[in-house]
Amino acid sequence: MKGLKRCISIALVALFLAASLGITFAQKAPTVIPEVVSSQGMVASAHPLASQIGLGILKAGGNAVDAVVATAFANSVVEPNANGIGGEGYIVIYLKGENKATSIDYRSRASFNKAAPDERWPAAGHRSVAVPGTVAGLALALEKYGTMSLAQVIAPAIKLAEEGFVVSETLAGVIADNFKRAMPNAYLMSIIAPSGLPLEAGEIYKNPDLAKTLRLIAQEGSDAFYKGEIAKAIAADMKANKGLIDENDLATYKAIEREPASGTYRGYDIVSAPAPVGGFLLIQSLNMLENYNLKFLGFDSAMKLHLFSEVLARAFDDYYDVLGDPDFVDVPMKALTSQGYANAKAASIKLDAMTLKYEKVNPNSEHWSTTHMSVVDKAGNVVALTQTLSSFFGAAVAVPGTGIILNNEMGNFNGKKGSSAYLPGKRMNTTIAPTLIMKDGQSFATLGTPGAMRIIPTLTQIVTNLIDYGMGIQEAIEAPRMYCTYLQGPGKTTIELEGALFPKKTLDDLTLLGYKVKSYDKRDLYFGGVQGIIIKEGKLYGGADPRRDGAVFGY
Amino acid sequence: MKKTFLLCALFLAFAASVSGQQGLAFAEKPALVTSIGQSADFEMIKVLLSRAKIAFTADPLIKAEGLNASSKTLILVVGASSKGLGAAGISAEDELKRTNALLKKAKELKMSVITLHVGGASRRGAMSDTLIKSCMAASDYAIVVASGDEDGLFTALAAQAKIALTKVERLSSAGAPLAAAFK
Repeated sequence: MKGLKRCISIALVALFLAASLGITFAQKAPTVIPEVVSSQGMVASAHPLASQIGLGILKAGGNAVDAVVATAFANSVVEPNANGIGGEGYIVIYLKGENKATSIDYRSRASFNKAAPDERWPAAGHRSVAVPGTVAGLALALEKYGTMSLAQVIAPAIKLAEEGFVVSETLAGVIADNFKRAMPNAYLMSIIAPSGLPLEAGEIYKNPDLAKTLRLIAQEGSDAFYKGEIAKAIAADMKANKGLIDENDLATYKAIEREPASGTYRGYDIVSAPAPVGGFLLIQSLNMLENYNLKFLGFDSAMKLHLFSEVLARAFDDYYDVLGDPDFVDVPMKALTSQGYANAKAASIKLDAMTLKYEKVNPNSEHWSTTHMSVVDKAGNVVALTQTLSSFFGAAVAVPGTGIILNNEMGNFNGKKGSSAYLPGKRMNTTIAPTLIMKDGQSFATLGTPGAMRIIPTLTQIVTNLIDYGMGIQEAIEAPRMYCTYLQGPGKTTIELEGALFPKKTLDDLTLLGYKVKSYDKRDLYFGGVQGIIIKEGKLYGGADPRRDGAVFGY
Repeated sequence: MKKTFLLCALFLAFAASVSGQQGLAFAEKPALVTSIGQSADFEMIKVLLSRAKIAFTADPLIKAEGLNASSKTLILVVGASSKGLGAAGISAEDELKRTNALLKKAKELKMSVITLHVGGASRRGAMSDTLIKSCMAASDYAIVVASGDEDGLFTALAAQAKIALTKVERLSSAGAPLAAAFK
């Protein structure tokens, strides 16, 4: 034991010296995907077809909200594993003319029908489905802050669903991975595995039933989904398969406009999605990190990665213990995002030793089937939107005749008591955090990522890559990532990272610090798929994540 | 010698299957299919075997002690999945140990061994490659989706092991050479 302590001490001195002498600042290596630069408008999303559609809307005179709604509907078609009108999300909007930031909560919600007292939410099937919010959320954003009609912004998505698109390697891999989950649902199989085998890269994915559904929404508005024949089809499928959702649940669903969560980091204003999602976790993590000189620690030193683990673990305490649906739980958002609270939390962090133990809920209770898009228009309006089905292909349930794949959000309720516990009609927590960054009253960045529990760690790394390490947006996105929010003490704490892209010494030093290192041998979609745009000196710089099929287009 | 014969036989078998004629085959039924790396590709191969009406049993986690003479051919669906290994609760190291022990037992039982890699480029990487090397060294025949052999790893390993290698463009095309390998 003494020997181990001595080894750790020696290692830490070595780490300190390495950090002092070999500080790594901005990584100026060439990027896998070139950074996109433009000046009028820009769209970054997880699929090139969706980004192109958003750009088309901007060029046609639409504003950033019109473009993001069109991109979101299109992305619901071309990234069916990660989002869709059977899912949900959150939008954060900055309106330049009004100098106003706002957000729209279209999180899904539990049915008002009570679950069994001892109900355990399954990972798939009708019982795992919550009331979808996507259509209501996108329609509300468009109605309040857009300039175009629903029919105009949905039209490109209808065309895509009808005519189909080429399956990418990424989508083919996800379909293959979820083939077994989808097998019990013949209708879903008819969409993603029409020949009986999963659609492969290069084949055409079509969903003509979804085109019909989208056409109805375009013609009749969101009521077609929540009160019309689509609602009837969802409720009937639920009833036939012992799901909880009925027509009343759908008819009473509302998207809600909320004040965003906000904070500061090294002179920048951070504006993100508030409760019941994870924006405050990002702000709190950054508040804690503000106590440290990250440049001094170096970009890829073990000490920096250890610091991030300690910070993120402390932030995530509040995810389970404090965060909840504000309609059901008093969430002290101002306190949670205050610098004083973060400082008090950070006071117990030691750079030379791991915190011994944190009592946590299973950190892998969510999944990484989410998607993010960022849009900036020529007027300077900026939008960040993240939407999800929870797991890839959600509940692995598609509603016959509609083309809609349903979410499995119910599993995001946590425990029987406390802020994140299940109650009928309640919205569940999630870590999604579409985020805007402002500097001196001007927009600086729009960011977001999928990645479940990796969302906040990834965004924290991206923000520090931009602000502390001075990276460009594409470079910040491509830089290697880590994930650790679950401290159990030396020898019991696993840190996951894209190890092949970090120096071997960093991995060795982490082991000396007591971490079990789980190394990925390439950039992996497990760590998210960031899409982002930064605005600097009148130019837009767009970055997309090579970990997925991200694409940026500007003009 | 046996492998040289198989090489020729399988070339003829595949050529015959492509041209629709009855070809030579070396593998006997029933087969036992297992996953090496716990990827979802295992499920797809079960579909292909069912379509080809090849009698088989499937066990993604079968260990050497579970292998017996009732199965004549061992089909290895190789490709590592962190998610799959995690869900199965086994480490990459343990999966490699299971694989090596399984292959040793298959040799003792004189089973034919067929390796399938159908996940393409995305089912490659350090973890997959370690498993692939073990499988290929002990196989009599291999079928791979071509995008998984862009760096020539399978081609080199097949040459080294002196076994036949059939490359197909996509997963759905793997059914024909697989069926043709069975008597």
